Amino acid sequence: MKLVLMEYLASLKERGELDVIMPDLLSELGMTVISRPAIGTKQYGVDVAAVGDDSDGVRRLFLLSIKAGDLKRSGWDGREQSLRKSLNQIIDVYIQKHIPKRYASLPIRVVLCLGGELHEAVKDDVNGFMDRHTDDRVTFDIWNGDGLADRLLSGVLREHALPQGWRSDFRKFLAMVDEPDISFGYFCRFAASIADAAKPTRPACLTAIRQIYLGLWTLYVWARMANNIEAAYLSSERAVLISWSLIKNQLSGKSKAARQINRSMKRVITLHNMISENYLTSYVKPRTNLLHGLASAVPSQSSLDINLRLFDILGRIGSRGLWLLHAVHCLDLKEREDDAGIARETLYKTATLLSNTIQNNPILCTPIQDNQAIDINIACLFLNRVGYDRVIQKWIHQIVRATIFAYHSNGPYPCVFRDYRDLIDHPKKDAKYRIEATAASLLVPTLAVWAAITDDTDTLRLLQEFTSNTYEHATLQLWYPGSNTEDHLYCGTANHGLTQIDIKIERSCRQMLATVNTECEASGAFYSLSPINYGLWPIFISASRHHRVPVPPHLWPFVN
Amino acid sequence: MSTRDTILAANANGTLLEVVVEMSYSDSESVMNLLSSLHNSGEIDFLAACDSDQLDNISRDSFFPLQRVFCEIFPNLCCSVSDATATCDKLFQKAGNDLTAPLVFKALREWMQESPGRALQGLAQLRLNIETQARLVRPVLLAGAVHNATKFAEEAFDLSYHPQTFARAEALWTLGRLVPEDNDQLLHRAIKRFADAIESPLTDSETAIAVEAALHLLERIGDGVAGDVERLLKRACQSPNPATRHALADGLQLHRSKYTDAMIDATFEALQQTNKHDSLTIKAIDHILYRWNIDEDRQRVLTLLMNLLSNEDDAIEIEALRDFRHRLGDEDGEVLGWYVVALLLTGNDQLGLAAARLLPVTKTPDRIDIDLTQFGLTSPWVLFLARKILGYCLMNQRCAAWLLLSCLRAVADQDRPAIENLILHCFLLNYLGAIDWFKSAVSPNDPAKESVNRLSNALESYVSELQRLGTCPAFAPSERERQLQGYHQADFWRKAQKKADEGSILSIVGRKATLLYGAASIAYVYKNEGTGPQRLEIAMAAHEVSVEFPRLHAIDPIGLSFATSGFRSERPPS
Repeated sequence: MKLVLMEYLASLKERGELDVIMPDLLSELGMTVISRPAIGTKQYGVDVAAVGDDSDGVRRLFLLSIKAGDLKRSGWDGREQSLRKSLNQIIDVYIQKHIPKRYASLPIRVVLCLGGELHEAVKDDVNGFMDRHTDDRVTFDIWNGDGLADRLLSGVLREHALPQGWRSDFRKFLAMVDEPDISFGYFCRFAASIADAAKPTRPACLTAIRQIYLGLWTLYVWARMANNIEAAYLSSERAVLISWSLIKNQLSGKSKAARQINRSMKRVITLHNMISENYLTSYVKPRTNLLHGLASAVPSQSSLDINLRLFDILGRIGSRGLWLLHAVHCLDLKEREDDAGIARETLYKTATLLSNTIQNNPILCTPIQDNQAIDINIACLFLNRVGYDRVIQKWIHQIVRATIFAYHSNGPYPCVFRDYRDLIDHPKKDAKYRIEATAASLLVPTLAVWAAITDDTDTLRLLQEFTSNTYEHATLQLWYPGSNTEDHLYCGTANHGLTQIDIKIERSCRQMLATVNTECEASGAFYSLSPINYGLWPIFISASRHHRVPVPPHLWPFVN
Repeated sequence: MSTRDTILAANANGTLLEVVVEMSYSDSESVMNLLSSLHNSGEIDFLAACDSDQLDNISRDSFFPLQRVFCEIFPNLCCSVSDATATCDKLFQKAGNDLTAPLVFKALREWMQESPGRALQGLAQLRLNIETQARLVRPVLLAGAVHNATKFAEEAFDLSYHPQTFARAEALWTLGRLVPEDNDQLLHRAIKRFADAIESPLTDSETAIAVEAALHLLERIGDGVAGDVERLLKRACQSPNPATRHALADGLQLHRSKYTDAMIDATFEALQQTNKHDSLTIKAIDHILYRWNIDEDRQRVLTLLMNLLSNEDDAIEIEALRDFRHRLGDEDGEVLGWYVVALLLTGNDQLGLAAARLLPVTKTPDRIDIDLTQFGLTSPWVLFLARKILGYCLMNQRCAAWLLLSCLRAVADQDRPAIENLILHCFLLNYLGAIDWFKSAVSPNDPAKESVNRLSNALESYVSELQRLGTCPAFAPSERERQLQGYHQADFWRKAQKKADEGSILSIVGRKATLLYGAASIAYVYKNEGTGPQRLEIAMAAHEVSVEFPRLHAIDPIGLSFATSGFRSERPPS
């Protein structure tokens, strides 16, 4: 186990990775973190500062200077970001002027925090430096990967704070990163068992969320090394949802514990977004400008596999875009213009990415599963919010034409089946099967609404004619959250919500939207859902994508 | 025991027919001679045996060897006309619906030919009760005509007006075979009789029989009746019923050398109306086309094909013309290409499908590219043809490539970008390796050379980046999905193999043996009587067929289907 953690620590980058987990590690060791890593503020060599009892029982002020990986000569001295320079700043500036008064009397331990090992070549230099600057008040210590792993095992991952069998699941989800679905399965079991075992108290929830976070981080690092972060992506989405489910009732108030929980939740979300961005940047972006680029990248000769994967990717891009949109909105509110500008740029790049993905992979015009309406909806929501209505209009029109053609020519038309075993045999020739396979549809009303939103009466007319003739047997429907949605949405534990059936496809855009608007007004459960209340509506999007729950119509742009 | 003793013993035991069947497999000639002499010397009564319960007890499998022996020896037997006709009738009944059933009456005819009296006695017996003896019309008339053609021709004329339908038909049929060629008056009457039958037939088959008889007359007599027969045939071709079409097809197949161009034209036109229910006619047409000069007489054959294959409700399937397809496969590739292009250019969906099925899947001719200038196509037509090739022949990569190359050569410069775009997006993106074939197929001065270069560059820019990036392991289906997909594929190929096994000629002619181990089989077979079994070792050989599916079938199946269906339904340029 320790070796696993050492490997994980050694692979972490300095910024945004190793420095992010250190505060949690110190907190779980019983220390009080007084300073965290921040971008843009001058920290005089101190990445993390904390107060607590050392192993000898003496209460000390710990000043951590963090370096990723092994410390070699180049990392020690001679560069702008070298450790020696940071240590000099700590001694010369931080200790002299920036220690809060209430901790001024405490002995200081400056910690050289390394993700990896201290190389022999610089050992003498480092020891020499530490000896020279050690005095009664200031002492030095080195926490290398080995020591950090020990601290993780006695802190965040201490046995009594974790459910039985966690080590086995932990090892398995790391070992199986090349088989993402299996790895993801073990991660789910790991995270769910932690969440289940956590008592409904803030400290317990905080510890649980940190454990899930650490597990996710480790998985991500492992997956990154294996060049397949699929398991990490799925697990990060699940981690967000499980964590939210765990802490959604602990967020209120301004207590320190509430703030810590808030911060931990944000970290899980940030990690999910980081993995999501990495996924898009590494796998999707290089291929989106190529005709059939993504479709050709699916290692399968089956059109079903390609179809399922591409709609899955479509949902991921849309989901990432909506999280970015949320981030831009938050940064705007906080008037952090520079950060908002950067985020906005990423947002539009993601929109272009999505638009190119659709344009260059025509299979995205031919959904095979009715519930791919979820991915289409997520993608349209995002495109609509960034003003890409023309893209939506053209795309929806193509989907409608292809769907009608596929249905009439008995090609792979959208069906209600979800199990791969059923999909693999789809479509069959007999008429009875066709009626069964299209007994219901979320997709058709969804397409109709988007046609209406983009004022495309031609497409609406095509759908209206289709549904009033050959598709008459299908129960056209839209889903709305219900009072039981909050209990089940995040963990996907049961069916929930309400379904409006017998949706009529209207020829008039206004009438089509009015039908939905009326029900949105009548169905108010959406507004009492926790992510909506806390302004974290993208969690709903992630839940929709992850657990294949329809995106509620309340998120559509025309809904009052 | 000698063969003679065996036969005599069997005759005494009432098992003569069984023994004859057993002996028919070995040294049949001496057995037959022995049977004839024993019967004629009165030591056995072969006919009585055939007319007894012994025949009823003979199994169906044993009957046909017996029938063969009977037909061989019967002309040499001595017996009365009544015994002869009764025995033949009995054997005819026993044969049931088998096509060999009438062979006994051929033997009867030969028997009657042996002496003029037999035919006359036969005629008398026929006249006595024509209702029950109608089957004697043909053997009696033909046998009699050998001795007195004029008399028996008159009998045939007379019987050809008899109200008994079968007798009348048989008499009409024999007329064409027995009217003496040196008797102009009889010939004239025969032609007149055929004309009457064709003009106002009393049954559905009468015209067909008259046609058959007239054609036989033509075969026998030649130019002397050519004009008359041509006139008759053209009349019969005007509104032929299925039986007449069959007769016309058979006629063309059997008497081709005697046909005038007008007769050929009329027959081909009549055959165009053949539908899928006329299986015998289709078979005959298939044989005609197999022996026809399908290269030099392209237009006539094409017109026939177009009509046969696009008959509104009952069009025949191209698969029914098996021999023709085989023949086309043996022709120069250009001939095959011509037929395919001509069918595609019609814009008819059924003909387009037929064109695609004409193309061989496994054994592709060396070249099936054709010079499209012979079709006089304008650029819109070349583009139309290219789309039809893609719509119907896309699955047949090599053949489609040849035909598309023809289009690239024929298209006008202003439409070259359009056709290049079409070939790139609808063909080359489906078969990435096909560009190498294009490059090797064009010569330095080829009109398509520049286009192929441009296509190569365009494809290179499409492929190079895709290949550099390769597939993404993160996009792989889950392990469960891969497993299910594996089972699904295995099921598919298992079914395909089963179907192939069922359709294999080996499943019809041979016995299937399944080997669990080893790469060769050993069997002991008996080759010659009296020798021991011989060891036969047969090494196993692999037989495999590979088919490349269009790439877009996986990465954009509905898009591909939508495009090809659009190409198929496209109407010809106005």
